[in-house]
Amino acid sequence: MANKKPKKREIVIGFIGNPNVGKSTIFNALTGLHQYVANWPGKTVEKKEGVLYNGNYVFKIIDLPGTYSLTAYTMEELVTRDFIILNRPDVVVDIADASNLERNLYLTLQAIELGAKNLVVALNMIDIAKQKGLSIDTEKLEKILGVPIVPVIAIRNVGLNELVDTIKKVYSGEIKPSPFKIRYDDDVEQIISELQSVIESKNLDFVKHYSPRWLAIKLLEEDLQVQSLFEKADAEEVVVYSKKMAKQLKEKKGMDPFIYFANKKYELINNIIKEVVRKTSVQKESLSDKIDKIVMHPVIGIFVLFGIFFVVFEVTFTAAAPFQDLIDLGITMLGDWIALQLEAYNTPEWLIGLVVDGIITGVGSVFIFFPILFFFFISMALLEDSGYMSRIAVVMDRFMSKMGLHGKSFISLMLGFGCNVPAVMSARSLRDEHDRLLTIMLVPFVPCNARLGVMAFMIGVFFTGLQATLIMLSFVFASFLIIMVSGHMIKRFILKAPLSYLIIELPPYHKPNVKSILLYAWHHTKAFISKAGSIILAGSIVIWFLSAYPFNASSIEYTLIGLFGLAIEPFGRLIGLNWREIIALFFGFVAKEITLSTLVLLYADTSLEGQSLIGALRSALTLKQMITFLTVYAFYTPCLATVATIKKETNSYKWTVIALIYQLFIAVALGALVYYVLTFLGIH
Amino acid sequence: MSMMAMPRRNMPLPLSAVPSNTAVVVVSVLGGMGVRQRLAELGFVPGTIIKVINSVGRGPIIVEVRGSRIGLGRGLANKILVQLLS
Repeated sequence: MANKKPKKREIVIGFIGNPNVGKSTIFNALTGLHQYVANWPGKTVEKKEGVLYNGNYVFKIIDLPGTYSLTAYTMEELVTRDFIILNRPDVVVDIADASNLERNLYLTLQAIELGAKNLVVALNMIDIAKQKGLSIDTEKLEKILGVPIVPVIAIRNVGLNELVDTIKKVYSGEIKPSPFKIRYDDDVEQIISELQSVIESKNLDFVKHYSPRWLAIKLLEEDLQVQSLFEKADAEEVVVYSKKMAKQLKEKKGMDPFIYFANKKYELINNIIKEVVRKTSVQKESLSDKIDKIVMHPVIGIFVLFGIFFVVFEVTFTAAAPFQDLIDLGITMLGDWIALQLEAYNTPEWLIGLVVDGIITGVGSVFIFFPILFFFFISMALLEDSGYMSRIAVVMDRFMSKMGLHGKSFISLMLGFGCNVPAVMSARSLRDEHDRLLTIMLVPFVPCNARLGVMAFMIGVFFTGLQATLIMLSFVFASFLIIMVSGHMIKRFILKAPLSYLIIELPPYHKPNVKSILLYAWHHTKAFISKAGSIILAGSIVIWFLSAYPFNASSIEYTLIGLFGLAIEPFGRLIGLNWREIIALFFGFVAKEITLSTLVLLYADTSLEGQSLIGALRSALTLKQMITFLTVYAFYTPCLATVATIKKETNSYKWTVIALIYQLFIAVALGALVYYVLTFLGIH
Repeated sequence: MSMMAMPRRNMPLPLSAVPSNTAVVVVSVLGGMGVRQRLAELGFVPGTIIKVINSVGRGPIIVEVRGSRIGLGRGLANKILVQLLS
């Protein structure tokens, strides 16, 4: 056998670390464009995977979510911990912030206790530690912890080659990590080993994946997920027994076991720090503190926030506009050209319709989002990477918590005025599952650019000047009101969420990394196109079909959608909507701006020769009809792209459907309310 | 001076009542298991020294705990009982 290439060896590596330690910077520096962004199966947590080719090795790196701990309290922690235990990566790299060892070593100790195989600690930001006047004896730290430690400065690519080498050496067995044992007080050790032997004596199948000592400690901490592991394996007696032992421990130590274990780890960390860290100088007030004095001032902070928000908005929507127009033009031209070609070959009209109105329009409405999302992701990455994002949460908490929302939701709701798609996507910066879902469900009540445009046009048909402005503003005001009331209602009755409190780390500000930001924007935009794109395309084809079949229909009333509109008109009448308006709303589902052109098209037969667009609508609609229609239009189901995004971000059909039904319900209820109030007032 | 001579210093008070630029030590954390666990993993365990960086009005407060800045909702800060450090 000649010419056989040496087979490349794949090393699976898990990256763990606290938030804001430069984990992504290292991940980006190593994997660059070879990345793949998705969600963890069945979770709303982002999964980032990347590949690095190095000699005969292929590094498959999984960038696990940033966490402070490995309890089961948040989805991020659970994902991280399950990955380390169940997927058994060949090497686990714990990225720690050298300038804040006290907090970062807590996760390191947890990883050691968990029994993470082949642990390597990358000590990032040693330059910042130095600036803070901290000198760290990494060799000594390595000796104490028993795992290799590689000092790095990720943003300057310092130490990354050494990190890669260390990973290879650990993988090949050249370096053998032997993590130190975390010991607790003797009486506690006795309880742990008693429980451990009970666990081992049961010979349960799942236990072999875990460290039995870790299981024992987690049972004592009353970790719900570990408890359920035993319950599922029909070993409830272990859980019952562990609760008894936990009670014993609590009585002995005078505190809850989980507090005891946390306390002891922090004690241990403080002892380690005394050994390895030397303070060479004391730092005065840091630059971050100075900035925070302004940015987080209760009054000035709000102005700063609105200023920054204005810039984000401008950058996202203004910078994207020319590109959008270009794509729009390109798609239209492509559609026309293809239609011409198909006609030349005597293609049946329905097939031309499918290709041009279904497929090309569908693909077009996916790509039209590309520029907006790319610029939006750049803005978001800038806010997140610089450290400002978490300040927003604190500054806005006072106001947003009144609506049952998280401070960070503010950004999502405000972005909604531009476009609901990035607004829904921005909810991912919320760490709490409930906060995220709630924000996603509320964003569509914010009228987007397209909706505002249509509304302004239609209001302009009947009103001018101040009157028009006031009516427009009252719609916007109503949307705030709906968000406020819905926030509480959804939280209490639909999500049944417990009261959540703001708790957020405020990392020191730092200069954003250009490469990281561009990669972030690129990978996330790509992920949107591939994920939501298929739903948008499929939806576009379905809607084309409904509006085109039967193909010999003489006008739209005889197509499926027309028949549907006529069929539900009796119900629509109850809130003052006729079949034309129902169909226009239906087309608004494809894209909000289509509603207007559909309406004009459908009323074309009622308009007089030579009448203008405005004139046609004015003679066709009564004031009451128009206001009712706009009320429904302003708050009903968002466009297809937003719905696809909701599906992508919640990763759940159930929540997508619940969100849609809720929005439809609110819109119809308000429409009815407005209709009957106007009727009562005698307005026609 | 014995500790008994300064009873007011030893009185536990909620973190939310501590003025800016004051160092305190955590005495206990109230509330449900989930909240206490979350706080414990961020380092809010009895005996921890924390510094209130900023606490104004009814908004969230900012503290320094174990080397990092944390923003806490006022409701949450009410649940953390602390003692003033002299």
